[in-house]
Amino acid sequence: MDLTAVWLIMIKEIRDARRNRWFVLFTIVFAGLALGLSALGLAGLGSIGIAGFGRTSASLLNLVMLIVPLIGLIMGAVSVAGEREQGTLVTLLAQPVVPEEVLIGKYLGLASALMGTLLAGFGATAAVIAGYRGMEQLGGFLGLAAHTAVLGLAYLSIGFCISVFCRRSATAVGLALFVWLIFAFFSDLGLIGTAVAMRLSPRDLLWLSLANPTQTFKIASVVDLQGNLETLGPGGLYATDVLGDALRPVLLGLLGLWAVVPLGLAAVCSRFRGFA
Amino acid sequence: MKTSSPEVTRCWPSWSGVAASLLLIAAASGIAVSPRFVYWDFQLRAPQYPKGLRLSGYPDRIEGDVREIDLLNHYIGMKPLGGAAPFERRVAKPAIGLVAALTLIAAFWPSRASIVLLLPAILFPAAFLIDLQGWLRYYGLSLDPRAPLSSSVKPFVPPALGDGKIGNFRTFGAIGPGLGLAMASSGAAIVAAGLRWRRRRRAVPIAAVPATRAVATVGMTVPFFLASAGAALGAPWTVSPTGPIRTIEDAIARADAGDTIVVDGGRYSGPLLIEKSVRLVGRNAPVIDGEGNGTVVTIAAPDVRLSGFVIRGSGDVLGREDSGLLVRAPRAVVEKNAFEDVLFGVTLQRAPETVVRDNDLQSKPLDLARRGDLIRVWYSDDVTLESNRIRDGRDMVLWFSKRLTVRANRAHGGRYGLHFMYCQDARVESNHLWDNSVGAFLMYSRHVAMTGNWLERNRGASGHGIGLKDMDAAQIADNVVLGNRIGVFVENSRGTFERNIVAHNEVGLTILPSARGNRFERNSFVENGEQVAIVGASGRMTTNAWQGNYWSDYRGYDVDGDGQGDQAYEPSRLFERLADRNAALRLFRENPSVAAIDFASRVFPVFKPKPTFTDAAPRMTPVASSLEPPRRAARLPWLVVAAGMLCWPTVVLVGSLVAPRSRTSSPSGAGTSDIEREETSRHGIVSEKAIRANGPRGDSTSTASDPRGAIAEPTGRPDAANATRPLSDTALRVDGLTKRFRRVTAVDDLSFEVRRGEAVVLWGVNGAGKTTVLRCLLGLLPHQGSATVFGHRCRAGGRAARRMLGYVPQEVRLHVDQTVAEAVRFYARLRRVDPNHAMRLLDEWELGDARNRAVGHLSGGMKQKLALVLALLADPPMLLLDEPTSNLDAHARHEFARLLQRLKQAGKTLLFCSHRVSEVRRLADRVIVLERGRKIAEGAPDAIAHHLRRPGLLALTLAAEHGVAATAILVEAGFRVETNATHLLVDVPAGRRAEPIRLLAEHQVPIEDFELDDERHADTDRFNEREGS
Repeated sequence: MDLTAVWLIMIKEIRDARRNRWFVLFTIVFAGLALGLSALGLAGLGSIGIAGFGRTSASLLNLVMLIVPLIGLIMGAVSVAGEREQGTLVTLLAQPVVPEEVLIGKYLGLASALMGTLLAGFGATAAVIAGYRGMEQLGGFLGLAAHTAVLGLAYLSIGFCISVFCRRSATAVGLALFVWLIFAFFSDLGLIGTAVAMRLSPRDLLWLSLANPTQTFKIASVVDLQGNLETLGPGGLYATDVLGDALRPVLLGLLGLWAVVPLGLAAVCSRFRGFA
Repeated sequence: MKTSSPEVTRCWPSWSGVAASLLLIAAASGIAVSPRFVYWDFQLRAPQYPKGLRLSGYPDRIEGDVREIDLLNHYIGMKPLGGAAPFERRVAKPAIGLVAALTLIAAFWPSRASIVLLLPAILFPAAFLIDLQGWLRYYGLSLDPRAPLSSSVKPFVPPALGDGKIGNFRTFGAIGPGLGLAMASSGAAIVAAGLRWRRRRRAVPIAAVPATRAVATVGMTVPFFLASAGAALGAPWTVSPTGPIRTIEDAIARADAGDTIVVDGGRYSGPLLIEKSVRLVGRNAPVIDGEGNGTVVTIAAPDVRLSGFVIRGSGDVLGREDSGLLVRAPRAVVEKNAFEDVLFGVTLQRAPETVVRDNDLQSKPLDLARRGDLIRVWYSDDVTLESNRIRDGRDMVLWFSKRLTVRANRAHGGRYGLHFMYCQDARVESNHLWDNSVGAFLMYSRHVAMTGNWLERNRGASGHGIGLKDMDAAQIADNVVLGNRIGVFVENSRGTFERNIVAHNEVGLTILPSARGNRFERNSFVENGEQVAIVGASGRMTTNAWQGNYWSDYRGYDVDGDGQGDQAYEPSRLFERLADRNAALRLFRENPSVAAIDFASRVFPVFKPKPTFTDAAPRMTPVASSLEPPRRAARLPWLVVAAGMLCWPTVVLVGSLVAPRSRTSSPSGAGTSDIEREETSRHGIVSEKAIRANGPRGDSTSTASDPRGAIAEPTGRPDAANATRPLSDTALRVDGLTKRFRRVTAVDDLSFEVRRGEAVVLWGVNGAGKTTVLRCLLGLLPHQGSATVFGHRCRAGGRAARRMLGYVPQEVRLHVDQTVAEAVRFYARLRRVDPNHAMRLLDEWELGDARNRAVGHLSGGMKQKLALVLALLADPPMLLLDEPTSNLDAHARHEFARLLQRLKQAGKTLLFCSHRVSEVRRLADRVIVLERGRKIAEGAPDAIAHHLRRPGLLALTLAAEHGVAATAILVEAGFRVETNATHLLVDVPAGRRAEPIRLLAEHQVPIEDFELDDERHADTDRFNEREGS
């Protein structure tokens, strides 16, 4: 693999992201919501003389679970399919590069841009907290930011996979939205319904829910923010008992798999099915 | 000779003088001792405080129920007592010492003038009382008008002495023994001053006074003074590693009850048993080390005081309760000690009235289950636990005791920050309990009042901030319960909960149906994950009273502006109700789906669960806490994190805005030096100008000496080898190329060769497979068969093959927002060509003026020129061109064709697709005719002219939305129609050439432009070419 080509494509992708209306929109939305949530939350707390990252982190957690998968999926879905539809991908692939270099370069470029989006949101939140009067749990905040980054990479990877399989960007975006709905809502609702109807054990419910990267992210973040999973009821306690010290590595590993496997699948597909 | 002098001045005083001196010595002693005793005693009594609240004023401090009174004073806006008389308290002891010293000097100065020295001693008690009353007046009159109850209490002046009344409190001020002693000393000083004033003028010579009298005077005064001073300062036994007494046991054995033993530094082995009522005072942190055996220190005598020690190294047997300190006698005072590496910390067993104050306690580094209780109280009434700092222990647990006071302790890292079992009449005030498994758990006790405590982040297995089980008459008020797993837990208990702030807990309040008769008033439930969980109850709970609480999820309104919502608060979250029934569902907490479920239950009332309780008059605003956060987090780390995080987006944004510009800034290349031009020529970049200068070149190998420009290819790479390897005579070899798209075979077993320098045309109708062949050669499509370019396989990974190729599509596709310069610079870098060199190439291809224009704003001709520039960046020996002129107008097409012809003359190998006979005749050396992916003919254009003969080609330019309709009209009329990106291409035989235009006009399909291409045009081209040459 020619790392220079990967680097050049990555840099180009970062520059293109600035022109990408999705990227600009998502950055504004995410940073704005993070800023607003933290500022309003802290202002509300200040009026009664208490402060704590607890609910701010919960609000951020909710925001991240909704917005970041959406950003990753849409940006990923548009990336290859959009270029293919515009014809720019052919121009690029006609150069002495191989599809994997293009794919990885584009992924890294978009990942960098996505990190910019996320850091803008988290940075704004940290600034608000610092401006308020500072808080404890800085470690939890940084852990949440780190997990969010991995979550973003995971969904970007899924988006890339979708994008490689779709010839039109509209199709890719539609499919990405469908996948987002599945991971954000339908899988949970399905599992809740199944658990109520079939009296699923906490163990079964835990393992089934870990198939959802958003849920994996949430559990990993709760571990970081609260030090244990007791808040998540019997399922959380079971996870703590079974995995023990391996809990964090396992959860991060699962998220990492989501960030690697779809991208690998996209790379294999691009080589054997043709990329352009 | 006997000598006598009439002016003898050194005389012994008379008996009255001696009496005056003795009085003054006693006064000095009294004044010196007085600060050890209470000067001022002040009591507050009210029905809610049957035992009253008490203040004890000393010259340098105030003791007693200061915190409680401060808490009360907060509501009426009175300043904290700790801030009163700061100067007076600071100078009190030195000043009293000075007064005593002056009095003592006066005692030995038998002169009237000495009376002046007595004035401070005489005036001191009165000055104290005047100052005290002044401060009381100041405090009573300067109430804060913003205080919650400021309107109900008017400014007042509490009397320093005697009875008074403030609100429903009765006050009683009295002189304490200390001030009494000072007043007695003052009286003695006054009497002594009188005696001095009235003394006989006749002095008695010293020689006349019997020596015994002098001895008696000195003998009486010195011991008296020393005794007084000794009482004031104590007469300690001192233990030190280097002194005469080297063990604490030895000192205790020598001391009498009530003696003070000072232990000055050093390390002493335990266990230590104290069976005498002594005061053990550690100086310079002496260590008593049990060395891992049993209990380190045991107090078995009453009234022992132990302070200033480091006590460490107890045993680790839980069943034996190995402790740092075991107290088995009443009235011990344990303060300012540090307990380290102990299993249990301070254990009180039947040790009533003991005070444990201001100690640091830390457990052995064991698992939580193996640790002991750092404070354990067992059958010990009237114990005070105050201002202790406890960390990483198990519990602070209190058993079977009455009238306990637990105040201002800080506990974290343990199991139960505070645990009451079977206690009565306890006060728990101003404690800070955080990061324990449970904050405070009160069980089987009565009349426990918890006020002003801060319970934060207690998140263990049960994770309660405050837990109540089987409690009676509990009073839980003014606490902050923050970020716990369950803020408040109530089971089978009865009590009042007022003005507490319960915020950010996962569950604000968990209450079991067995909890009845509780009152929840004016509490603030703020942003808890679940505000109230009623576990095990299916219906509405009416056995507890809810009134005037603030609920952050209340969605009502307050029209009348009375601060109370006009609608009742009724919790009704569907998910929480489901989770109450099936706890496993808590796994989905914080998920967006949970919000969706709750939203659905609000929108569709059929899903809305029945409320379990009702707060009829919820507050619209929370009750503010008067408690200060016990710890204040640093702001700087957050600022650093914020700056660090915002750095990356800034870099991305600025980096993309400040994209590197080409160093050759002149759009026309005016800035290009001769040397650079020469370098361009040396690199063999093929351009029209270069072609003109050098003439046609038949051998591309000789001209394309270094197609990579200034960026050198690393040696040892295959591509570097390609660059130097002599190129074979066969530029392209295609053998059995087959490409299928599912069931459609686009290219079928195609074989052909292209020689170096040859121009070959792929000819065929749309769908014949021309573009597919080119894409296979570029490695864009996987295929069967083989294709090699200068010996390199064409496939997805065929980087080497693509280095030999330049590709010009029908219309170059680049990001429309990208400028020409950006595009060229990027592809130049990708091809390892110096970007400056690429910029010069732009100038040579007459695109220099457009370098800062967006690609989307270029005309068709300029786009194709740009495509050619991109294809030629690295001067590849072969070009693939996919209908490069199909989107150009006639003029641009002819110009572009001329450029291609010159490239061919310069030695480039060309493989291109075209619909136009004119181009074929003009450029092609050979034509390969394709039909449905198969080669049906191959040869020179003239040799296979019948394959090229086709009716005239009418190219129609239409708006995109009319393309389908126009095609349908023309096909219905019997025309053969093909489409490309921008045109409809219609075969028009002679006699019907205008018919398509007429038909579309009749059907009102607007035609933007048209062009006719046929053999006659080709002849015209050839004529023009000859004329031009």
